Parts: sequence; structure tokens; C-alpha cells
Amino acid sequence: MSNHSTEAFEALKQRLPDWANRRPIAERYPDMDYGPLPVTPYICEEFFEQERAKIFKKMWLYVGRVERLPKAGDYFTQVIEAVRVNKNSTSPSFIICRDNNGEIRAFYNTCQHRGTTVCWNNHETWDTANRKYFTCRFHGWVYNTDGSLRSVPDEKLFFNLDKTTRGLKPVHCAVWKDFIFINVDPSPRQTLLEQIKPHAEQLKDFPFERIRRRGIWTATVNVNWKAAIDAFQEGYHVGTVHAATLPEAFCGSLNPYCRPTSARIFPQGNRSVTFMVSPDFTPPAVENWVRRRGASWYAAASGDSGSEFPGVNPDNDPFYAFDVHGVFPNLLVDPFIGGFYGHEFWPISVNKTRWIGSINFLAPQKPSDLIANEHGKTLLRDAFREDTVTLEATQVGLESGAIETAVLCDMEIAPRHLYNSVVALVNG
Amino acid sequence: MSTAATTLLPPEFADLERYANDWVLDTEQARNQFRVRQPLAALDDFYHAIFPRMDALCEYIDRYSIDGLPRPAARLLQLGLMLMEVVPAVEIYRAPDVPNAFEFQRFKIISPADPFTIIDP
Repeated sequence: MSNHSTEAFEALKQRLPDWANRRPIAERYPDMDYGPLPVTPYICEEFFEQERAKIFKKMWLYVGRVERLPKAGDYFTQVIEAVRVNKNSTSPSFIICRDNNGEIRAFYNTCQHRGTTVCWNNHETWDTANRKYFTCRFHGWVYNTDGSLRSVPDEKLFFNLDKTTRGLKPVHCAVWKDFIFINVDPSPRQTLLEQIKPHAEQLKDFPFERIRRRGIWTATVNVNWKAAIDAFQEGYHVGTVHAATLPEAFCGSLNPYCRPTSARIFPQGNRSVTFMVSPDFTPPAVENWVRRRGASWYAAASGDSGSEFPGVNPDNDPFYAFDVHGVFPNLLVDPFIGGFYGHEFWPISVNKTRWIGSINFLAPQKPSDLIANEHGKTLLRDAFREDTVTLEATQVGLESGAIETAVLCDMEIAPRHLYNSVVALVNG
Repeated sequence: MSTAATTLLPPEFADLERYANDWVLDTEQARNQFRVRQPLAALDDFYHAIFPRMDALCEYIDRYSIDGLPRPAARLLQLGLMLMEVVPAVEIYRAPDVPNAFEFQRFKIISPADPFTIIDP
């Protein structure tokens, strides 16, 4: 129910952009095909293998932010199933580190003696460790943090060993505003900046470098990676899925189905969508207290113009909440006034994905900042519990044989563009 | 159990001392696990005891740097973090855990440690 008079309500409604109010997004992108989508790409193993070959082994993939590697010798490891050599291979592990000269580098976590894994950090610990050198625990070969082979026990016993040819195998590594990406393609066809260009342009001044990770959550879910992404890149689900956590925050009388206020479709599968809060919404007491401290993760009501966070709300829509930047292939970066939240989706098989969600805030200045931020962290985490519970139920239905095509509405343009872009790359 | 000689919180917050043992926890994971195991009435009691004191609590802890909190002040900070863990259950869900949600045991909290430092005198 609206808590505004009819006049006031109509005045508010006039402030909404056309796209949330009257005109479909499809008018802005008339050349897209708005027909039903065959479900095969979500359920077919052969299609998944093509995705691995043509997308995941060929593109820049986000692995973490620079704040995980504050000092020389810091490193973390990551297993990436999506780039395994064959369908039935085990999955390679990568070392991402800051070398002793301060440079961010990435390598295959594979000893060049007989192939053993060098750093046995179980990536499931998610921690950063620190080493002056990487020492393989099988025969004690030692690598410098720049990957070069430093020493070999009983070296003279080898036959013409040229240590310079036996360093850790590097993978291409590039950083954009503290986001670290790697590319296992020996000759990437484009630079990182070229691949993420529309997002990089829009967010070039967003203060990512001053933002720190605070909440991180992960689950391995029996769902196709694209179906998983879809659950987080439209507002259509908000009124139903988030009925317990966000019952009136987004779906009010002005925009009852949580349509985006703007949407952008970019080349190469990239896209962004902007969402609003309901002006009807009266937050409960503690949330109100948090908002007065300027710490809500959808802070429209705090009165902050967002001038310190350039790049958000590209069309200056009223009642702004946050943006969803779909960074192809498997990353969502969702800035808001005060920080950003986001998701990674790591394909394991056609119907298994590792999801990692996070919320990140401006580095806290004083102790009470931690408390204020914790409210949004908790609420978002619990909202993600609601999102993730739909995923396996979706995959079961997609694989059941009971549905041949999915029908997507106007505001589900982000899922549609992701789908179209993947199909184009696989079939191209 | 704390006595007058070994209170866990600063004396100004003696009214919250009864929460200083069990409700002060070091990680988000511990706080979340604790919350979902409490009856809603216990979460309500905690909420109604702590929230009215939040402005005073924040003013107290903000006298210190985030890199150097004495233990009693750090416990206050952690009570504030616990309040925020509890708030959605009390204000919105009216249940200890979010309903209709992904299985609790399969949803891993891997958040980094709360970014503050305790200094002992």
C-alpha cells in the first residue's frame, strides 16, 4: 500500500524513467530476438564442453582483488575446473601472488620437475599465505616468487638441466582497479581492458581501491552456471524470493514488480541494469538507525548524492539503489553508494557451479563503522540464502524434459543477453 | 562467569554484562550459528537490551582507533556486531533463521576476520 496521497503518488510516478514506468526496454534494443529460448544450453554436456573451450579457456577470468595480496610474497591458490584440459581431467590449480618486486603474477601451481602441485594451500581455506620462495614438498625444488626456478637439490645429477627453462608456467595476469584477472590462453585475443571496456569506462572513477571485502559466502550448487547468474541479474524474482528479507524495500506501489530503472546491453555479453528502492518503504528501527549513519547497502534514503561514487546510476534515476554490472562471462559487480557487492560463478560441470558472493564497503574509519556495515552484510547474506535455494530446483526442472523453451519478459533482458552471447560464441 | 572484580565490559555498560559471556563472539560464522540456535524470545530480549544503548556504545568505542581497542571496548564492538546479526531475525523474519532458504550447512561463511585489533594493556 502506498503511504502517499494520490497527488503525491502521481508526482512520484512522473519522476520514474520511462523504462520503469511505461516503455519496454525492448524499444531501446529493437534488434534483439525476444522469442523463447531453447533450454539446451543450460543442460547439454557437449554445449558445456564448448563453453569451456571457447569461453573459459579464451577469456580473462576474475580471481580476486589486490587487497588479498598486500605484501611481497603474499599468495593464494585457486582451482579452476572450467579450464581443465579434458572433460574428465582433474582441475588445474593456480598461484596468484605478489612477487618480491611488488608485481602481481599468476602461474600454474605445477612443479616443472615431475608435475606435482607446489603450493598445497587447500583453496577451500580461502586464505592468503606468505612465502619468500615456493618450495615443492616432493623433492624440494625452490621457485622465486616471480616463478623462476631458484634451486634444485642435487642439481648436478640432472642431465644438462637449464633452470631458466623450468620456471613455473605463467598465465597472463592483468589488474583493473584492483580486480585481478587471469587468462589461460597462451595468446589472448584481446587485452583485459578491451574485454571489459563498457564497465571500465562507466566505473573508471568508482573508488574500488578504497573498498574492502567484509562478507564472503560460498556454496557449491547443482545448477548450470548461466542459470545461477540469471537468478541475480533481474528484479522479477525479488517480490517472491525475497518476501522474507526484503518484503517492501524494493517492490512498492510505484514499481511493484521491481523493474529496473535503466538497462544497458553491451557487446561481448556485457550488460548493466539499475534498480530502485521503493519510496513507500519505511525501514524498521535498527535499519533506520543504520541509514542515518549512511551505511545502508541500498542507501537512497540516506540522502547521499553519491558524488563520491562516480559511475553509479548512469541515467541519474530517482530512488537509486544499486547497479548490476554483468561482466562476461562469470562475474557480477554491483556498486552502490558506499561500496559494492558481487558474485562469481565457477562452472564445474554442466549442472554444478561454485557460487561466491560478497559485500564490500569503504574501508572503515572508526569502530562503529563496522557495526553499521554489519547490518547490510547480514541482510544481504540472508537474502543470498533465499536466492541460492531456487537454483537446484531450477536445474531439476530444466533437465526434466518438461520444458523445451524458456520465455523471458522485457525486464529479463540480462539473462537473455547472457544466453544469446554464450550461444553466439559457442556456435561462432 | 564475571564478578564485580572481573567484569568483561566497561562499567558504564554494566547493564549489558549478562550478555558479555555468550553473546560476544569472534567471527561472523560463530555469530550466525549462535543466532539460529536461539529461541526467538532470547533474540528479542537481546535486541531490546542492546539497541537502546547503541548510540552510547558507538560513542564509547569510537574513542579508540580501529587498530587499538582495549578488550572491554572490543567486547562492546562485538556486542554491536551481534546485534546486527540478530536484527533481521527480530525486525523482519520473526524467526531465528531466514525462512525458505538454502540449506544452512551447505552455505559457507568465509568472510575475513572482523578488521579491528585488540590491544592488551
